[in-house]
Amino acid sequence: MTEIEIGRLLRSGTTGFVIGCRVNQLEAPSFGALVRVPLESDYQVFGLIYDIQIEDDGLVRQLITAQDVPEEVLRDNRENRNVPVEIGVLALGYQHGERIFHLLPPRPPLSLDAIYLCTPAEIVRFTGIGRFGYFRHILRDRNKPVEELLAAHLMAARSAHEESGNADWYTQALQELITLMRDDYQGLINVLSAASDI
Amino acid sequence: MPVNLLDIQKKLQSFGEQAKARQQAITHRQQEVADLLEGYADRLDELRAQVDRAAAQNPNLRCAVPREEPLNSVIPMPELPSVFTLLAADGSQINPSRHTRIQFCVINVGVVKMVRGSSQAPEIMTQSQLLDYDAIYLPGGGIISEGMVALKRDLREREALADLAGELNFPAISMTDGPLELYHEFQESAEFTQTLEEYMTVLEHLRELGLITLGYVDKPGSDLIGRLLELVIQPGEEATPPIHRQRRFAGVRDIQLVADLLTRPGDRSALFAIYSQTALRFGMDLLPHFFYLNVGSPGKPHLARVEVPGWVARDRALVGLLQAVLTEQSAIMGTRPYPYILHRAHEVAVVTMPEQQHVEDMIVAEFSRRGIPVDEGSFKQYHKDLPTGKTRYQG
Amino acid sequence: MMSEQRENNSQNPSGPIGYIVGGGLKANLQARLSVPAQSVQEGAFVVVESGGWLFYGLVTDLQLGSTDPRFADEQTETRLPAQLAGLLHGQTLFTNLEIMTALMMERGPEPGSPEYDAWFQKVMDEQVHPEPVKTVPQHHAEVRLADAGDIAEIFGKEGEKGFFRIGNTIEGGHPVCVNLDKLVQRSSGIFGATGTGKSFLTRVILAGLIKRDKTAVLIFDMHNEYGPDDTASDTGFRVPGLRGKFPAKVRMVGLGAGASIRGNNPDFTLEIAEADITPDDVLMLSQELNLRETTATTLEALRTSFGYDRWFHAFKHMQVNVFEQDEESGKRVPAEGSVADWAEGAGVHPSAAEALHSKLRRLFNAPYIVEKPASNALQQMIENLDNGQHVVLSFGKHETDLDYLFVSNLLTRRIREVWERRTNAFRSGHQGAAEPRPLVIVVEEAHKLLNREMASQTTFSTIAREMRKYYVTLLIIDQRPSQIYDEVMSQLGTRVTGWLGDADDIQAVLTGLAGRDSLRGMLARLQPKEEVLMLGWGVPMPILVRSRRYDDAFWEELQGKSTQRSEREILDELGF
Repeated sequence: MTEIEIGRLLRSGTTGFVIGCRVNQLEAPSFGALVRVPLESDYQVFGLIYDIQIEDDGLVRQLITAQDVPEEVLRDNRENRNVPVEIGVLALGYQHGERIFHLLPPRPPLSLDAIYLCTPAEIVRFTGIGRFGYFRHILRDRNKPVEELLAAHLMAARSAHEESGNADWYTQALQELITLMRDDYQGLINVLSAASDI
Repeated sequence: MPVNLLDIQKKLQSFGEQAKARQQAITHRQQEVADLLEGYADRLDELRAQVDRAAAQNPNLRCAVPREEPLNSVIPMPELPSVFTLLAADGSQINPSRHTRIQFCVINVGVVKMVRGSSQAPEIMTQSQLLDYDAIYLPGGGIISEGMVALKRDLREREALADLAGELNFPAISMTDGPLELYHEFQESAEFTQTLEEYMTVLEHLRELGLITLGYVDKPGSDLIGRLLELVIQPGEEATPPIHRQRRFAGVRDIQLVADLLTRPGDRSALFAIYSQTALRFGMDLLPHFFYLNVGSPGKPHLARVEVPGWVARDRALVGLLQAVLTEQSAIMGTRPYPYILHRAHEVAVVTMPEQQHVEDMIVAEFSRRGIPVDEGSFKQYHKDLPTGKTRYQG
Repeated sequence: MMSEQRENNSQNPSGPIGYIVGGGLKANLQARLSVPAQSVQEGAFVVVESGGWLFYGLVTDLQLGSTDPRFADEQTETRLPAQLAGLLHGQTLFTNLEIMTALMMERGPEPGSPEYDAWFQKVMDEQVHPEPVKTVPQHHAEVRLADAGDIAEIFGKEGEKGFFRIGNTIEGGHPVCVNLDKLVQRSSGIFGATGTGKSFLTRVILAGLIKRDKTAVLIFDMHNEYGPDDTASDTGFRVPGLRGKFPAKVRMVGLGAGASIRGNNPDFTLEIAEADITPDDVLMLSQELNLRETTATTLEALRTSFGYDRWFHAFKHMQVNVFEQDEESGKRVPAEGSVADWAEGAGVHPSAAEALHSKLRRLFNAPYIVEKPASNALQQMIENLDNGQHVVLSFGKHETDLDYLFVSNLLTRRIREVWERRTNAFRSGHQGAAEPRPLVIVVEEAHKLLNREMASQTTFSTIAREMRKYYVTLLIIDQRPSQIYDEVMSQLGTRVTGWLGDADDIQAVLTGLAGRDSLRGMLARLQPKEEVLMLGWGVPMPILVRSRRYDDAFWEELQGKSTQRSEREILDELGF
């Protein structure tokens, strides 16, 4: 199992954190991916990528005005230039020792902590424990694209669970979502519409 | 903060009038010079002889010297080769300051190496040099001047190009921002002479590497061609001490002369050598030459001056290559043409305030470890550093 | 998870079908259905397990619901993939069951636990038995369809102490029994519109009663259906009669001398002696004969003139419209022996008497009314009933309402008098007075005898009211229960009803019962054939039953295969 480091922590809070990474690190993380931040030997925080921001600067804005941009310049801007990609992560839970909790982490990660992409086995372990308590954190902030986030997460986690032989996880997850959201007709229909595009 | 706008207002009218008068005068002179340029376009030997004469009388003469091309030449750019190497270096420095806790000097040079046609991301390299303590505190008291630091920086830029060039896909071109010719106010100082020697050694080394080198001057204010033509119009004034001499074509910049000629992107003017005391020290192979180049886009010309050593200037194919490369590099920047790679070298080299602070902290820590007393920063600097932004009661 | 539950349910029919979400004792309980709505029907017998109790109830309604009306309004299955739509609907759309609970019973310890044996002994000793609901199950208590054991717990086990299987539950097909001994303790009724299998069901119950042999049965077989073999009107199949199946036990009596019932000779015939007819018997026919209000007066005068025994005979033989010349006055006067002549003498208005005479002509002409019957068939019938036999009185060709009303009422009155006498003798401790054998009188077209006008005059309503005081009860069979006097209806202990088309009839069947509102809808939506609702005093709680088929299989189950009959039964049938 190779660890894929996707970047390092820029800033954090109890409910989430922001990772900075270079553009060439950007191939690994994707919207809805589960990440983890090992803080101590027996403590790590889990989160879900809900936002990826590619920032511009003056040079990039200037380059936009050119007729065509040579490949070398393109790669220079993506790989060398110190314009970080900001990745927003929603805190979903943490692991202390062997136990996984779907509660907000007691301590947020610190500046420059390395962030790793979760392997399918880690996804299965984190999402398979308990009864989807971490959905609370996703559903809490309706200003985020919750529907899309859930759809992306479900898609990734479903394939991880199916590979590990648990074909029911997806159904159970949807059922839990429906239970959580059935008083919010529009929200629920949005989530299901998004899920139906999986 | 308070500017007395009333005072400014009172003065505005006469200020505008003065500007207008000067503008009119320059326009008049410009036409005069342009006419001369036409008239002397092919009379190159005559002009060269005039320069020799003038130089004999005025050791501080500084002007353009025509080579083989008529003055009003317009030479279009050739095709761009499919593969070539580009290197650019730029430097920045932390100047020693009385106001900091300790006085130190850092020269930071960034080098960007791009192989066009490779589809690879450019290589980025930086070299940071903390100047020796003894180099900052001059033997005769006082500390190194900012001009001297700039000179050292210019030297470091070229050195970095040679140091970091590595394997090259030829043709290979290196560039820095600014003239190729070193310039320093105390041209005769021993320190300058030593630096110049080192500089020429580096230029020679670059030449041995086959690495074309050039200096790129954006928005050039130079009037070397105007100065050349002044010699034609005022042949009798050579004897007049310079201090009393009237500049006949003052304010007429070279680019105003060639702008009408260089209409297409990639067009360059005739090549000229630079005549100056410093330039003379370079020797013929390294002697700085220059031409003007339209790096703009169709309908939107933008002129830059390009300085190259003699060995490049002699090879018209190499000069053509530079035309094409610089025009392409400038085009990458879209509406504001400037060689992309130079800008990147600048980005890499620039030392930010936090970095500067960090270096200072490192040195202070080292001093403390060794028991060397460290001053406080000046209170003047402290007060200047107070935040100027306003804050608001947030409830 | 819901889906797991569903899967379990499809595999395990006694698994939960839902859970309690609300309701109370006054209103019915509400349960959220966790299986597809189609797997439960109205009338289903369900069990709710809560705490230490089992609650038994009937599904009286199914209602579609949704957590938000928009989930119901929007056809999300067209927008979402089937799996998602399925999951969504599983949680937002649901069906609620309305359950009318009737009984509750202590569940007892788990089988195999130390306390179980002691508890089981209590059950066996009938110390633990279902009782009317006094409380409600908890929220989320599981609801399941009753299994055979639950049904047996409530309705008794087939073959035990008078429990007779009347049919099966609609869901699951578990046997439902009725306690025949209890059934006959009060009058009962079998209702249903024409063609709902009412008479088959009656045959089934009668067969059960005859087989049980604790009760004598007298059947007024107006349409000659029960005694002889018959052919079903709809299927054309042969329908065995009771006489043929119980040759030794059932006596078939024909009305009138030389009666032939569907080509069979009856065991004996019944003629009615003129002397047995009372004025009340005639009065009862007022409606049928369109008698005037003066009839009672006239009849009373007749009785006074000729006595109980003779009045009918005398009146029958009077002449009408015969006159003679009065020798003294020379006037034209009624001839001697004429109705008018008697009327004048008795102080009755001659025209009233003549009208009555005219109207009674149908009786006068009835061939089964004779001055002196050839045999005392009535006595014979009573003896048969005493001897553990059962009597089917077939009306043969005398199928008019008049015949039916007159004969059945008269006989019933006479027989009841006998039973009343015997009962009194038994109760007062006369030596040798045996306990009367309980008698069930089966009356078809009961509304003709028990309508509001007639009820006060016939013996039937008396019997219905008396319950079992004199060991006689009624089993009334009717398609128009609304026509039956409601006081009589309310006295009916057990009611078994098939589909009824008329709201008044439905209302009538439910007279005097708890939970009428819930049952009404169920009754209105019964399958037209074979589905019956059992309710009333004779069953622990109302239940919907698919009635037993009256066919060869029924008889095989009831009597055993003909080749395996015991010697005793063969001898019985031979009449020994």
